[in-house]
This record gives sequence, structure tokens and C-alpha cells, in this order.
Amino acid sequence: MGDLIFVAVVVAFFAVAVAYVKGCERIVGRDSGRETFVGADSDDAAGAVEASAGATP
Amino acid sequence: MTGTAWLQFLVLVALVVAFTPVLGGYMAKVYGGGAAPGDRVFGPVERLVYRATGVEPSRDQHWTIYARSLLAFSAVSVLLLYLMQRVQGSMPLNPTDMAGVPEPLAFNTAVSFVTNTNWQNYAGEITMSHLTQMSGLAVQNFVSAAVGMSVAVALVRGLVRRRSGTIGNFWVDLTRSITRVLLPISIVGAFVLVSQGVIQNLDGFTVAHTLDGAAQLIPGGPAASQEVIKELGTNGGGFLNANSGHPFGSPNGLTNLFQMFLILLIPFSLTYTFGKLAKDRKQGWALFGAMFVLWFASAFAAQAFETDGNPELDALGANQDTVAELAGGGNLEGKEVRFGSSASGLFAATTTGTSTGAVVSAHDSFTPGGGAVPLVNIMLSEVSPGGVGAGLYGMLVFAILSVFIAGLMVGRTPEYLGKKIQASEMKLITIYILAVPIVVLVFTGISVVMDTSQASILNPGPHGLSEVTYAFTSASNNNGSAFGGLTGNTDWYNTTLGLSMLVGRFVLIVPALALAGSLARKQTVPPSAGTFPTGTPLFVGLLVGVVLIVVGLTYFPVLALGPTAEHLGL
Repeated sequence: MGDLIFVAVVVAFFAVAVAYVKGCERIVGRDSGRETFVGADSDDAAGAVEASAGATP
Repeated sequence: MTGTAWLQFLVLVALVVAFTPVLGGYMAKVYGGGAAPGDRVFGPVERLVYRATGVEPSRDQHWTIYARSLLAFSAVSVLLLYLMQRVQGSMPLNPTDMAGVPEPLAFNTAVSFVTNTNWQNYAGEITMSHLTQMSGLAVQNFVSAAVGMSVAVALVRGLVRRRSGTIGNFWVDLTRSITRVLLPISIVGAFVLVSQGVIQNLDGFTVAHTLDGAAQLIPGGPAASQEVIKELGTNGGGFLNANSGHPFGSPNGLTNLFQMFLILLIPFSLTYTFGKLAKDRKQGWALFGAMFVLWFASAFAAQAFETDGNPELDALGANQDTVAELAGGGNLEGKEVRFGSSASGLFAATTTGTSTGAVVSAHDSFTPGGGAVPLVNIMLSEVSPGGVGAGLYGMLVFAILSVFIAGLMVGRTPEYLGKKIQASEMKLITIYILAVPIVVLVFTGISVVMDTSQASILNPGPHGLSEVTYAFTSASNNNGSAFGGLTGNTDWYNTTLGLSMLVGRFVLIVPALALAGSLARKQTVPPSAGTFPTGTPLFVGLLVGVVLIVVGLTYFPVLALGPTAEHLGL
């Protein structure tokens, strides 16, 4: 029983952490996205970057 | 401080300053994307790892993918390490017949090692099998350090890339950190430690009979291989319960000095890596300068407090100047006489300025002022110079906060490395800075009023408050050193300290990566007459001031009620 509780705690924490990534993405997506990629949303920005994969540091 | 103490201090400083550009320059090539030294040796190994794991090394990741990869890797690591501890009793390489680790302790330990904290509510030699030590804890010492380095490098890329939505590939950064930095240095370092007498074998206990006929159990095991990565990766989890204070883990003054050097090596070197990747070495040296000022001041203070001794012992007529002259005198309670009060103070400041948590002495036995040094060091979010990777990304967060404050003073939009710092970045930095203090102060507050948690506090009054505060501060900042005087192996502390470690690690890493993603997408703006220069001594002073003020404002009440009240009561 104890094992189940602790495994559940770990899984729950990381599930919340993934949702937290989403929350931070919303923060990032607002002003900087508009400024840097005029007329493009953050997904477009990400797509633009795929092309530059492997670029310098 | 004695002449020997000063000599040791200055030799350590010289080693750090000399090796920072060497290792930092090498790491810049490792993470820079082009050809790097050792490609012929490490390249085939890495390609094998990528092929086996299905990683496409040339494909960079958006920051959200980078963060999810890191979280998934860490979640699996915690679960595997938990399982390994629970079933160790029926696994091989268990010469001392260790049983499975109880659930709360296994949870605490798994989280502790995956988060690079290495808080230990157990004695290694009587709890863990050799298999758990070697393929569980030691492996996490490597990978948790590599995770920190990856995040730091990702944030640097965010700062130096322009109009890019990617910040690197987590799996590549993780792999290269291990194969090209941590493993080679660890192999050389382990031989150095073995040459000085640190044990490295697969033995169990050896029974020795003392002169009065009692039986004594002498532990064996692969200590050297774990000691070296324990320090190099700023992990801190000792193979033996007495950690680096045990003669099998650090037999003499030379190994003590070498271990401090290992602790400081990568955190300081990464500042040079940052400068190289930013193509402006002054930027790297500025961060180095701020880290160095904080570390030097704390190391000097800890040594001064401990060599001055305990005034209450003076009042009792004890002569602390002449006692144990070889150890330098001073406050020798809770210290190894082969290191003495000065080296113990230096080690304490070094291990808590980073996220190491290894100890050579009992911090609980330090004078109030000496004990406050490790506590404040950890509260500084460990940026002096901080953990492997964690120190650099922590200091970069403070650097951006500093230019924001400077920008407010002169009424300009702040810039760092030509990137405008705007509302989204400041929101992320606010989350980063507030998360840990909230966890520390809330859990400390609950622990000092609940009956069950109060029972674990072995000292009453201000010292007891310092013990509890230290525990949550250490766990939340992923340091792992224990002040002592607190029975941590209870369900309450195992669980809450485990949660504190998780929050302190991942609730900070995610906004750091988001910051990297946000900055990477921006175009740089050319410097103008109103741009605040960030590679100057003035900026170093501002940065140090911001770090101290942010911590001072956050933790002043608890520091006043703990170590300050105790010091004034002497």
C-alpha cells in the first residue's frame, strides 16, 4: 500500500509539472511571441525554428 | 586563521582560477555544436547511445519539448531508483545482507538523488547494498548533474541565439555532459583518491577486535568511485554515513583540498563556457566575479568564526588557542582533528555555496555565526558558485533581474546580451525566485508548531528553529547537507522534505527553460548609449547586491529568530 501511495505521489507531481510547462508556455507566448514574429503565433515560431536545427550554440 | 589555513585557502583559489578557462573552454566546444576535442573517442559511444535510444542528435528541440523530455527522464529515474531500493534484499552484490529500504525512506532517497540534493536520512553502510550504491545512487550522481548542466547550457543558448525557437536537444546535452565531462574527470579523480587511501572494493564488513575485546565492524565498498562524482557533480551523498569526514572517504588534508577543488571546478568553469558561447568573455568573467565574491566572503567568514572558537568555552577556562595545535585550535567540537576548524569552515562554505551537501564536520556544532554561513549560503539559492549547471542558470536569472532593476532606475527597457527583458521574462523570474522561499517557510512554519514534527527537534529555542529551517532550506535548494540535531527519518520529514526537493528542482527548471525559449525567439538589439554594460565591475557589484538583498528581504525574520538570536544570547 505504501508503495502505491509513493508511486502515485511521484506520478502526480510530474503530471502537474507537465501542466506547469503548459502554464509557462502561456506566459512566454504572449508578448515576446507577438514582438518577434509579427503576425505569427508561437507554434509558427517553433516551426520556423525547426529549420534552423543544429545551428550554433 | 593560521598560516597553513591561509595557504590552503589561497591554493584552492589559485586552482579554481587556473582551471576555469581550461575546463570552461573545453565545455564551450562540447556544447557549441561544432567539432570538439575527443570526437574520435566519444563520438562512436554517443552514436551508439543515440541509436539505441532512438535519438536524432541533429534535431534541436523547442523549449517545451526540452522540458517535457527532462521531466519524463526524471520521473522514470525516480521510479526506477525507488524500485531498486525496495527490492535490493533479493538482488546480487549485497554482501552485508541489506533488506529492502522502507517506503518513506526509499521515496525520500530516490527523489533526493534524482534532484541532485542527496539529502540522506540513512547511514549508507548499514542501509544500502553495493548494487544500489553503484547502479542506483552513483548513476544518479552522474545523470542528475548532467541534467543541471543541460539546463544551464539551454539557457545560455536562449541568450545567444537569435530568432530561434529551439534551445538544443536535451538527450544530446545529457549524453555529452556525461561522456565528455563527468566521466573522464571522475575516472582520473577516482585514481587520485585511491592513491591517497580512499577505499575501492566490493567487500562487506570486516570484523576487527579492539584491545578490550569488543568487536568492531569495518565497512568496505566502492567508495572512491562514488566520492569523486559526489563532489564533481555537486551531489554530496556520502557512501559512508560520516560522509567526507570518514577516513575511508577523505583520509588526509590533500584529499580534503582535492574534494573542495572538485566541488568548485565545474560551477566556476561554466561561467567561462557562457562567456565563450556568448562571444564576450567579459560576460562570463562578470558572473565568475559575482560568484567568487560571495564564495570568498562566506569561506573567510566561516573560517574566521570557527578559528575564533566558542566564547562559552573561553568562559569555562578552556584554552582554545593551544588545544590541538596541529588542528589550528578554535572551535573543534564536531570536527575531524586531521582537518581542523579552518579547513572545516572552508569545506562547509564550499559545499553549501554549491549544491553539494557533503560534509567533513557537524554544522550543528559550529558557532552561531559559523553555522549561519552555510545556512545563508544555501538561502542565496546556491549561486556562490552554485550547483553544477544550477549555479549558472540561477546566476543568469539574478543577472536578468539585476538589469531589470537597473533599467527601472534609468527608465529604459532593460537588455541583457542585447535581448530585451520584458513582462513575460519577469513573470518567469518572479516564479523562479518565489517558489523555494514559499516551500521553505511554509514547511518550516508547520514543522515548528506540529507536535509530531516538534518531537524530532533535539535542541530547544533558536537553535532548534535553525535546525528545522536548515533542513527545508537544504532540501528545497537541492543542497542536501544536514545541520544535524533533527531526526529526519520520520514519515513527516521524509515526505515533506521529498516534496520540497521536487519543487526546488523542477519548479525552478521549467521557468528557466521557458526563459531560454522566450529569449531565443528574440532578435538582439545593438547596444546604445543607454545600455547598461553587464561585463563590468559595477555590474558585478550590482549583481552581488541584488542576490544579497533578495535573500535578505525573504529570509531576514527567520534568520533573526534563529542564528542571530542564538549569537546574541552567547
